Amino acid sequence: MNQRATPKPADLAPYIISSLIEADVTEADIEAFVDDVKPYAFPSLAVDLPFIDWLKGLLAGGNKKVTTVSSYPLGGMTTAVKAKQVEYARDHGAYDIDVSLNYLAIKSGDFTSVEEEVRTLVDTAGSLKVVAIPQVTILTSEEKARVCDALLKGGCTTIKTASGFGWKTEVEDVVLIKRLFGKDIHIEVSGGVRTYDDAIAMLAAGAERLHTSTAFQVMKLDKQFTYQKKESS
Amino acid sequence: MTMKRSDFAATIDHTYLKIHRSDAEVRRLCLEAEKYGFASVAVFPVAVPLAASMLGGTGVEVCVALGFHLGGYPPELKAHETEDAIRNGATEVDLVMNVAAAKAERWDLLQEEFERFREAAGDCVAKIILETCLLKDEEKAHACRIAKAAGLDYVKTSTGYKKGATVPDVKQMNSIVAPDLKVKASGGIRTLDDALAMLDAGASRLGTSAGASLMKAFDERFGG
Repeated sequence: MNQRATPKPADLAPYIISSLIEADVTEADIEAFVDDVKPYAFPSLAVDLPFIDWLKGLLAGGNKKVTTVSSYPLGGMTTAVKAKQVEYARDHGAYDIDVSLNYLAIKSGDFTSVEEEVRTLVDTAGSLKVVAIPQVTILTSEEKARVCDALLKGGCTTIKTASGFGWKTEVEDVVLIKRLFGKDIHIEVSGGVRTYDDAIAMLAAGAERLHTSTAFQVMKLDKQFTYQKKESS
Repeated sequence: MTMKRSDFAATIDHTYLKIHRSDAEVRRLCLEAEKYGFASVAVFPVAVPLAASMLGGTGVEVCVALGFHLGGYPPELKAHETEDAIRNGATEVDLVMNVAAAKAERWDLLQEEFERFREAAGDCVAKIILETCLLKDEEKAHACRIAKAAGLDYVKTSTGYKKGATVPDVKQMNSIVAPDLKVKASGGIRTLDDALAMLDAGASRLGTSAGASLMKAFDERFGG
């Protein structure tokens, strides 16, 4: 968005993927969440696997898509299990799936495994879009470059930088990946987008989407998500 | 009455459940578990082949952490994950239950999940993780009863990613599931006093990453 004017807070919605992924989130919570976000142009809402078709039903007739997750957020699952989850998400009609990678392989320098895993997942996914999570928070610059290279070789062209839950992304991470891979990799930022200024800095660095659980705060709206109100009460 | 050192060690699942980033860390855990005689080494599925290769013949179990840490996917995927981990060498399986199902009072879903987990685990020790800090007392009780009916081996308090085990939780769980099932306390067990309090409350296993320092503290207090 370098050539364009800086978006105003209210114009940020089309860049934001709003998520409600927690162990105790129920259909009732998601229903309230959908009511919360309905007036805003968020392109996608992220929920855990069991809620995909049900959420699609709730969103029917609108433009919002359903994002889901695999091996999230810790990345400890095997390729076989991730493939099964991808298959499930595909069959239930999710638009995209954010997959935590095998960080043990990455930190051990085994980028062939990363490439093979992502190829398996992309092959399994069909029209479902696979978004890989390299978890930049725990990677060196060299590892960031090598994992992106492995993802491209495996056929994955979109990354979500980190998984949130305390794992953060810095503007420099986006700048580095953009410098090395340019338009070849689409960058969704997650982890640490809390305010309007965070969001603008990430977009200016080349991010195309922002994942945040505090979308209203980012858009400087004086309201809270129903689920978060419940949490803090 | 003081426990024997070896009996204390045999309550510990030596646990590495941070994002896995080092084979060396898995190896260290396995070597320590063998040295102290811990019950098991608990790791994520990606580290199971390595742990299994190191622990074969040592008597230390290969415990795998499944569904981490949110546990929010359908029973058939959890059953598949369980079978996959066992094929890779796991001998004990710890699975995060579908907390959302309990919150929505979908006890039928939990029953299906626990039954399929039991079936998929086969002869392996099967532990279901309640994530007690998110549950009300009656929700914990209900989950415990379903676990008992499904013939699981353990109910386990916590993933360690949120608030951990408490003495009242362990007592409550034990009062419902004993003697058929045992209780594993996990999350926040850092000191010897924490560990002994959980055992006093009725826990048979402790999930902790502080195993080595717990043994040191045990030796200092009870003279090895």
